[in-house]
Amino acid sequence: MYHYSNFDHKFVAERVAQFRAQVARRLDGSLSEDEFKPLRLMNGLYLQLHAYMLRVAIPYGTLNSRQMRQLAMIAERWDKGYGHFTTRQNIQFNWPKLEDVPDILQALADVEMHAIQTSGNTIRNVTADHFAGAAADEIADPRPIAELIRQWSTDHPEFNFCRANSRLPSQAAPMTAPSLRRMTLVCA
Amino acid sequence: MVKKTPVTPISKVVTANDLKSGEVIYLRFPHSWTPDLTKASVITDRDLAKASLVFAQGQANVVVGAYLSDVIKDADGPKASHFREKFRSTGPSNYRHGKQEI
Repeated sequence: MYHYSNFDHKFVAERVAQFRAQVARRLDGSLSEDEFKPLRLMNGLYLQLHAYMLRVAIPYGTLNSRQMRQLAMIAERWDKGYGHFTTRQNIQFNWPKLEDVPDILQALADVEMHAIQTSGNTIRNVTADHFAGAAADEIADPRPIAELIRQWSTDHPEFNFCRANSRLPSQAAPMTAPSLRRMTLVCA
Repeated sequence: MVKKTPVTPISKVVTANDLKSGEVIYLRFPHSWTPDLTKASVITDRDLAKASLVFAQGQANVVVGAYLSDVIKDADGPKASHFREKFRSTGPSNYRHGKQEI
């Protein structure tokens, strides 16, 4: 399983600190909602019909037990005790409070996770076969390639302003028609 | 004699999301917000509706996305007249969470 390099740790820590300052500026009125909205979306935070929603990145759907426990802690401490896994293999918390989100992002960073690039018209995740590493008919483990794609596509300027949101699926076993169709879903 | 154009009566509330919690809230005169639609102030005057919306939009550090919403007056207080607003006033419909927990 991939572990953060020093660069990764520094990058994510800086984004947490940056967003903490942006939230403070929104709450004290220095930033309007129009100014704040693109900043929160870049950090996976939506304001939906009933409440805020924070979408957390789970690259190629791979979690270790420490990360899973941290997600559970976040759900218990800052949400309503649950989250929703998405079709792109991320997870969403549906009831966070705005002022708590910087602390949530810090808790994610503590276990090498983040919510960067999980919203907006960009590549929101690289998905992988959920049987990766376990499928009997696996040709190759997709996770190393998925990790390379994740690194290449994260904050890639060409994909920050796509015309539609996207996912990049990778597949371990022989591809079926639906998976081939999904492979063509890249932003124009 | 000049024929007067009939004025269609209005029945509206000001609604928005709370900046800190994101919760759906409603304006209650004179200057407070409530998460309970039945406790919202119903506006029947067009000028007052405009002024109330301007007031709400001026509270940018308290609320997000204020707008006027149609309601039906009822003995128990205002009720949403559109499905979307009913949905906002009660919370998610899959099971009892959000406002339905209160």
